[in-house]
Amino acid sequence: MSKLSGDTIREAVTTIKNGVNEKPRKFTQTIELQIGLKNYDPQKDKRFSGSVKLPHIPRPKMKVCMLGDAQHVEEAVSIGLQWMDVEALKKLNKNKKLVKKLSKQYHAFLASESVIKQIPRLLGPGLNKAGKFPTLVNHQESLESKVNEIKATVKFQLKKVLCMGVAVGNCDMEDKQIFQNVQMSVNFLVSLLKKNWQNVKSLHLKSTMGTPVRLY
Amino acid sequence: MSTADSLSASGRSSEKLSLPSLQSKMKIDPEGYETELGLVYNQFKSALDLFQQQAALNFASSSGVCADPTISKDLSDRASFLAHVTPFYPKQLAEFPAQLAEFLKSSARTLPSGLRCHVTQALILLINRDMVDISETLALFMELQTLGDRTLRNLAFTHVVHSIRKMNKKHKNEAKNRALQNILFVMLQQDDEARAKRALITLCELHRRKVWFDDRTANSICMACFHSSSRIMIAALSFLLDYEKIEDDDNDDSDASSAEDDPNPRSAQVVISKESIYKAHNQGTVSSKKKKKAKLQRAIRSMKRQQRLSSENNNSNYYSPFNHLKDAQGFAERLFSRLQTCNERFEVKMMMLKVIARTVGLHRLILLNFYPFLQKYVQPHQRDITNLLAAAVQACHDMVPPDAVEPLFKQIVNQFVHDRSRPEAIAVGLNVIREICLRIPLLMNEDLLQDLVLYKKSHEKAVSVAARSLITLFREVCPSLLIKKDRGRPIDPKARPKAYGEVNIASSVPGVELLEQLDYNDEDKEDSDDVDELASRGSDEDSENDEMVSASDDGDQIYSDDAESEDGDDAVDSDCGGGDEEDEDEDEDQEEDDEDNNEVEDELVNTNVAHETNESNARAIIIKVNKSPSRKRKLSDFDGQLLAADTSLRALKKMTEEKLKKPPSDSTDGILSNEDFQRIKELTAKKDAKIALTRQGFKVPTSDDLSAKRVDPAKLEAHVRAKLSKEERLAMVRAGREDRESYKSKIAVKQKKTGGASNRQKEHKKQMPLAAKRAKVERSRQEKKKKQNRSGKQFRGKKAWK
Repeated sequence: MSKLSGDTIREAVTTIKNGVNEKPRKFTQTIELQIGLKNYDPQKDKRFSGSVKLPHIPRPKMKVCMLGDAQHVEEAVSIGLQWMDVEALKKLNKNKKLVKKLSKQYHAFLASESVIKQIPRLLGPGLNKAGKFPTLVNHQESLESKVNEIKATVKFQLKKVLCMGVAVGNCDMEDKQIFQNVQMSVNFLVSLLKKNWQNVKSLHLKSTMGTPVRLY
Repeated sequence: MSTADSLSASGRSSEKLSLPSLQSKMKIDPEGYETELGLVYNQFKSALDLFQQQAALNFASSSGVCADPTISKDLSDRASFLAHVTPFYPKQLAEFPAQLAEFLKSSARTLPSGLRCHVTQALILLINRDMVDISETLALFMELQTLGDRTLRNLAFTHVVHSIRKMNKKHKNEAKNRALQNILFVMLQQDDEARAKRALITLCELHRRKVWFDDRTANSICMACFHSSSRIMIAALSFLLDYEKIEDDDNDDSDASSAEDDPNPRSAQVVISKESIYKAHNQGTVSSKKKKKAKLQRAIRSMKRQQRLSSENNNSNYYSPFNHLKDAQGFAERLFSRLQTCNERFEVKMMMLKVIARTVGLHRLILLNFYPFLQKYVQPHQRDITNLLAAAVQACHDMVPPDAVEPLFKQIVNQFVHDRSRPEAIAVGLNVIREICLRIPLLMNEDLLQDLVLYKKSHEKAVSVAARSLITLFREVCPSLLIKKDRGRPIDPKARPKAYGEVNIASSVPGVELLEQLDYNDEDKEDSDDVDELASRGSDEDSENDEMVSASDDGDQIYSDDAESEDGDDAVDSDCGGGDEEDEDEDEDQEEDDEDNNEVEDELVNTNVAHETNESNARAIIIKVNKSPSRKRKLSDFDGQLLAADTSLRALKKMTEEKLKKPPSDSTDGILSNEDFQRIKELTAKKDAKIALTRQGFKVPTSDDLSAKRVDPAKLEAHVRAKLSKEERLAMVRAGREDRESYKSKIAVKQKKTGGASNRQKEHKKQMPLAAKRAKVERSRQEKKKKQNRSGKQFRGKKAWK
């Protein structure tokens, strides 16, 4: 079999949904795509990384922080987004521990044009190290859409081991939405690989508390 | 001593003869010679005792003279003999290896060098026969290397390297390797310079031979840069920099230009469309064919260069220890603080600088103090300035805020590129500016760029080439900074460098839109003649459209408007440029682009007709657009329509985009197969080939490529001709004289000519009949007349004569 067929994904999605419905939990379960690779040597081959924007937001509860100037802060307040201004950043005083704490508090950061230039000076390399360097927002585009865009973005990054996991959806989404997300992320992932499907060993889909279902 | 010598003389000499033969006999029949073995073993033990006593005596008497040569000879013979036979008597000689190792460990320092070598060889033999484990003796061998005895050092070193290599040949035993590595790592950390140095050399050798090139080794080598002894630091730095050396690129270039029958250019030619190859070889005049061929060659070369670049990424470069640094930021910071405080020689500082710059560039670190530090060195007369500037270039990447690099950048501009500085300095300065701007385009502003570009008129080749390369770069990166004349015909006139921190997130598989277009074209055969055009031009625009629109799923209204106003120029033009047509006349290039845009759109519309099912409103517009007979209509007459149907065109556009956005085909469930990816690869290659043919073969590399690539200082001074010394100039003059004869007058040369009269002379002399003479006169007269007639035709206007 050289590739995945759409029917298996649909089946997997329905089984997962059934599993979730059988034993309801007190939170919305996330659906995760787990990937195993083969014929790949992370020591030798280039470790790939890439991010793609999925058609639907997999994790609506993702915490995003706005590091903004006055105008953006106002916008952030109006849409109920967490924010910090330059003064608050200065208070961190380049303290590594505080910066690390900040980077752990949020999943992603946004910054307005005037602030983003100062960030290396204000915070040092802490955010870079955590891989959470803020994304630029300018005043032309609406903050909310940008936040949604960030929430919909997933990143594939190979570390030292030959497996990865990414969140592709949650159980509140419709089957079709989950399907589209899975399809997009699988396509993108496979396009990143050197030999495409020949590098894929396995694909699993699972909900947070459920059992994994093998796709490939 | 003499008595002892004479006593043992007879027995020893007989034994000496017999030892090798005894050895061979023992190998044949181990059981038969056990008594002899016991004898020799006892002799060895007693010799060992004797030797140790003597050594102690000598040491005590402070004479420093080594022990009696006969005894040491005795000892070494027996040791090697026993080492040879140990495999046959594992029981009897069980503790022999341990004894030998212990002996070496305790008294290696005081032994005479010959004996030391022999005993070491015996021990190596035992290790090679697997009688002793290497992990027990590694420390001992490392110790032996520090004794200051060259032969012994080489022996021990090669032994260590070989045995570890042999151990890892079949498969890697991680636990064992780790134990060995730990021994070496501890040695490397020690303050004792000699030991640390040997450990470092061993580690480096093993790393170079790719036996130990894991994270741990790489990190420990990198950490050796912080050793308190500067010599260790220098050794580690130079090892690290060795990986950064740039191999000769020249050979690649030469084979690209010369060899056409190589398989590589063939593969490059495959992606270039057959049509263009045919045209280059078969259509047009000789000179135009020549031009087309040259263009083809250029495209092929540039594609080859790109291929090479991409393959370079996972080559030797990858094994560089820098890639495995665990805490790159910490490493760079520590090394930088050491650089600031140390007072080493300039060369050493340069090495540290290069290592820091490379680490910063490779891992995209933020080390803001580094740039001001570099700034104080940036002077044209500074020693090693090109290397230094290459390091500065490497330290620049897109994560650095531009204002941090700005002072350094300004300094380079002010110090190197002004009218009074030497042309070499200007050339180097311009090249460095280009390289930095390739990495951080935001540094450049309009005034500065336009000033710099003026150097393209310089008479110095190096300078003008450098200035032109700057133009080429900005044609791609940001054409709006150039003056109109320099812009050329850029692919994307609105290109703008990404703002700091801006990221492009793909919203679909890169290149998938090519596949879609292919599908569309498959379905509509009548459009197949324009496949290439669609693939090349249309895909650019449409992919952008695609991205823009699909990026805006949620807040779609604003974005789709954006997309239209940015990419579909026609929409904008129809809005604003309806009244002022002179505006369009000015912008000839843009208009052309717009036409292309329209064409593409038309084709898309055509293709969509087949798919069109529901939206009857939009359908009406499609028909309307299709009705216009010629595809190449001018924008002006398109305008009228557009003004009228502005809003409906928008609807149409949106619809086509929606069509494009759909997954490629429903039959495959939208999951791409291997074949699809293969096709995408082919199509992108084709597209790249098209682009390479249309422009001069320059493609802005991605920041990933840039950070992995090394900067070659030699490239920074490309075309700069070094000033020749007087001897060199004289040599050149002499070389020119070699195949020339000595000076003579022209007539003398002519007169010296041999071989009889020329045909012309003979013709004059020949006697001919009268009729023939007359005919000839007539002929020549006619010819003259013809010539005159012709010359008269060429002249226009009034003649002064006649």
